[in-house]
Amino acid sequence: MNARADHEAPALLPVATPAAVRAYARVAVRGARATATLTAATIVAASLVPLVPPIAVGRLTQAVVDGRGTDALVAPVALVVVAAVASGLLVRASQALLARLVVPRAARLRADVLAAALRLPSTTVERTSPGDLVSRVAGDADEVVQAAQGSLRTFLGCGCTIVLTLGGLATLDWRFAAAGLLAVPVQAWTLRWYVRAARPLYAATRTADGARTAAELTAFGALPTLRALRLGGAGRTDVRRASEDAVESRLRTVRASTRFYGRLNAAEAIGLSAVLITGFVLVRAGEATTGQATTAALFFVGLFGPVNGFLATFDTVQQATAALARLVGVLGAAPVGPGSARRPSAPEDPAVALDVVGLTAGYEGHPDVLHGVTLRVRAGERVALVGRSGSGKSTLAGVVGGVHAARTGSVHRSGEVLVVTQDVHLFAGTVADNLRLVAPDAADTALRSALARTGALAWVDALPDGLGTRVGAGGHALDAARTQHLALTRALLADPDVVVLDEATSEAGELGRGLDDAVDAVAAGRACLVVAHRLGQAAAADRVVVLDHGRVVEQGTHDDLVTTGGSYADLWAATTTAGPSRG
Amino acid sequence: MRRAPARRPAVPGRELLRTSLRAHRRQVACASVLLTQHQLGEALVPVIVGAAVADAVADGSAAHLGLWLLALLADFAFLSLSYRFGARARARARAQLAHTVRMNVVTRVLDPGGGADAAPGDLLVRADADAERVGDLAGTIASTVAAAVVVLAAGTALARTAPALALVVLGGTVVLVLTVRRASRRLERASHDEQEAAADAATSAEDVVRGLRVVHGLHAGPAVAARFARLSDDAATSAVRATTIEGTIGGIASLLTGLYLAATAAVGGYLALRGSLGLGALVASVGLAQVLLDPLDTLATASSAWTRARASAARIEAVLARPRAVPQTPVGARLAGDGGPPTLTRTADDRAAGSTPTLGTVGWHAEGGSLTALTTLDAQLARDVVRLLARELDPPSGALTLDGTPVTDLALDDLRRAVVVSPHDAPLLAPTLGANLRALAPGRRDVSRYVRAAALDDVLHALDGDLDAPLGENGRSLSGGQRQRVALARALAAEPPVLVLHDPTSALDPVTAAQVADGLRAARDGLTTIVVTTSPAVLAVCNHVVDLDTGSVRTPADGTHATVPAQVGAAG
Repeated sequence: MNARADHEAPALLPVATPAAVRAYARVAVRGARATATLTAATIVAASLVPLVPPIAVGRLTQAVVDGRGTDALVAPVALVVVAAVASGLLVRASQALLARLVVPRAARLRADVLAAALRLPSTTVERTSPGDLVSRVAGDADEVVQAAQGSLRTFLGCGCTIVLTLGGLATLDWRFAAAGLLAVPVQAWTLRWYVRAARPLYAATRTADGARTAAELTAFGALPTLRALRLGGAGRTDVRRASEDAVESRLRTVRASTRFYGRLNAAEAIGLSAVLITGFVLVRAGEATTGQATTAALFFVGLFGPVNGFLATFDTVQQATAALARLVGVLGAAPVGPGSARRPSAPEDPAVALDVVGLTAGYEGHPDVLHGVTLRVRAGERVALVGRSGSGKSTLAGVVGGVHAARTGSVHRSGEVLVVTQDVHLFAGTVADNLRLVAPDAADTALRSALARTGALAWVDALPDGLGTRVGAGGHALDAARTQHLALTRALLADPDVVVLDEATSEAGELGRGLDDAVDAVAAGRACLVVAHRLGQAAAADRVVVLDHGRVVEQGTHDDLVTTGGSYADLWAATTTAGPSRG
Repeated sequence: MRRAPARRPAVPGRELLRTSLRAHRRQVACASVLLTQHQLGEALVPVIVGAAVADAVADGSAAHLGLWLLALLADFAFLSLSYRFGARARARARAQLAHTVRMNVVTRVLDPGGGADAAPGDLLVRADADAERVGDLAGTIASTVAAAVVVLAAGTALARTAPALALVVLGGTVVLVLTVRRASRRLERASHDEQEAAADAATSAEDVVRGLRVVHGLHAGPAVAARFARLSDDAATSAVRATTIEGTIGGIASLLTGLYLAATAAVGGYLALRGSLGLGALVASVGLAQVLLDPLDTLATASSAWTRARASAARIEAVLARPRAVPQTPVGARLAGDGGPPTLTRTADDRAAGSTPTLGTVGWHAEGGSLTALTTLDAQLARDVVRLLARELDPPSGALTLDGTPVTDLALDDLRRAVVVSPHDAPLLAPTLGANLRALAPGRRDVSRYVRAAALDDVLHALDGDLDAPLGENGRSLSGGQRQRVALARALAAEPPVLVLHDPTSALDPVTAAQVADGLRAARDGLTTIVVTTSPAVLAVCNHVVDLDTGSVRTPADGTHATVPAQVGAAG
């Protein structure tokens, strides 16, 4: 098992610039003016409430100083009661409205990010870590929702409270407001320092969390192997190290955050002292009453919470921005519409379904696998692609199917090309769901008809819930051969113009005969390129193309090639006997 | 005779919370003390302000004002430093508790005895999000303790000046906390739904990413994206519901705190207007009541944090409590044997076990030092035999013995060291070819003979001979056949006394398969090897071929070709 710290981390998906993030946010909220306005209004109204107690106490204090009777109690207390009732209603309303405004949009962003990831060219995906993608789609989206709800409500609410309180101070006497504002330079400087220092720390924390997710997914996805090969301990160590790294990263962020609050405390001390001194001076000069001085002091004490909250929302906004940048980064990395590889030109000759000319291709960062391959498949023709392991068969299938990009050369297709690979993967969902991936509107009858043609209907009906049986992760386990049987049925259902079968029956082992009928059903009446190592499939094809080290070395019918002798004849001989020199 | 009291049914999640919090009690205690100091410092501020107003402002004494300002600055210094270290201690407690719980999950899931397998996305939510929720509780406890202490201290101080006020403060606290607690029980259900929906979304996302190649091949991107969008919307609906309920609880809390402030102002004002309460005390009490709003809020939300943490702890307990598939037998019998390559024998009963898995009714014997093939037309049987050999399950009938000792008597680790099973299409877990080859044999310096044995020369050539070139996650840049050969080389490099392989050539063309078969035989000379396969190339090089369907045992003689089960035929 690897020790990730020893090697460079796998490349992660791109992260958007702040400008790109702002642009996205603006577009996202555009469609909900009314709700947004109402939400803002309730938040502003709710933030008026904290102003009431200091005013009431100020009145009371003055009443005590003036030596009035207990009837002076009524008005201030009534004021506080009304404010209490109002705040109860407004808090609930603002939270509900904000949730309804923000959460569905965050969910849509999450879905858009996954859709974008699906449109990413597979060369980009090859390079990056699936753990990173999952971390963005699950973790980052969650972060954005939480932060947007919490920080936005606090940001608006605290912001309003601060503005209104300063207004209140100014109403008592402008000098009170001026005294209070002495704290502002310290707060502003603190905020500037924090924004610059904290942003990289938050980004580092998100990265560390992503690396931990990747380590966990690697282990969780290979449990039987880890047990059999006694690699469980190493897997555990990898996760432990990644988790410890993430903990340290988070603690570094908290250290910066506490330094931030420490400086804010200094600002508060300065401001409060100034307000008290101002009150003292004004009362002594007779320009303000003790009650007003009391109200001013209580206003300022009441500002501690909102100011800290306001400045702290920058704390949370940092986290959300870092997460949002990672989400929008995926959106930016994906092509806008279906990939450009999806609209190739059709071959000149209408009888030809697939025309490959001078194709070279390879995997990102690795040398060419295919060197100038030229190949032609006519409509309705079944061509078998044969060659040793690593000769480039799967790469060719990938380029033809539009999954990989070509480096040079051209591929002309008369229509849709569908690729069925040796990758056996059932998506979590019912059998019907898995089939409908290629035809979302297909009726059950269409599904059953396709299953019947590939010979899978019998065993599908025998499943606990037939077509409705849940399969894939957490569902009924289907063996690899049956999964490939479903994959072939799916190809039939899609009814593409060209189908590429890339070792699509390899999981049935040497007993692939059972799936050969399914292959026949899929290939019937359409251009079919079969990549196979079982030469029985080649023998059944109309034409055979032999690849060696990425080049076409032989072409012809099975009989012709066997008679002529050469690589194909050798392969054929190796299958029917145990090999030329044994013993 | 007294009846024993009925046992209370265990509350799911509580036990885990108790044990993990206890393990971190010192960190939580340290954070609690520091945060309490901070809260007390905060509470002193309105008291000092009240004293300054009454003593200095009202009387116009500059000297007194100076003294009170000094007290104020000292208080700020105290509360600021307490917060700095308290918040850091709290963060450390949260992060490390989450880490501890996470590693508990990982340890259980990776336990050699197995039994806790589930969808990777589902396990991820438990190891990440649920562990974080439990960790958050450590922080909540520290904050709650601080809040409780300051409310009590304020109540005590108030009781000295005006018992009626103390009653209002403490009474208000109790009413608030109890009401919110009852309301938050509704939140627990919504929170659970929210976690389930989030887990579904994470599982689905992970599911899609794993099948990305398939999705691309089917051009099914839009359909898959649409399905995920629906799942994501469901999660959003749950979240909106949970947040709205939180809003209702918040609204009730807000109403009650407002009324509590009103009561404080009423009682304090009444006493002050009557002359029994000083001006400074009035300002201090109301200011204090306002400062206490935050700690009261902390107390009110503590219960919902507790319910959330308990819901997550319950989900984690569910994983930890799963029984192992196979017992570990910590003190096992020593491996018998004369030091030579071990023999492995399977004795089966004639009665066909009606329950799954059926492991066949055919017994077999793998002689020490030999290359034995087990072949069958039944793919499920092949899989189950391999699982038996990996001791993922114990046979319902019959036995499996290693050098005469039943494997069930051996410690699991000893057994798996002696008998290495390389599962079919096992993932590659290291980032480079060299690291993968050395994964089971870290000290092995020269891996070239295993490269040759597994016919990996073409892969090495494609990497320009660089064993340290990155292969992508799970060897993504390799073809299926190449990955299969790397996995084989990895197993060969370990040179285990017994090696079990399952269809190691399924993705290879006949010529490469034959090359690999020869390499396999040469590399395993003098050691015991079992291959579960139907590949003609591999069967040809074996000493014995056992047909698990018929029970026949063949010995491929030199020079002749191996006969494979009749149905496969020459074109297979």
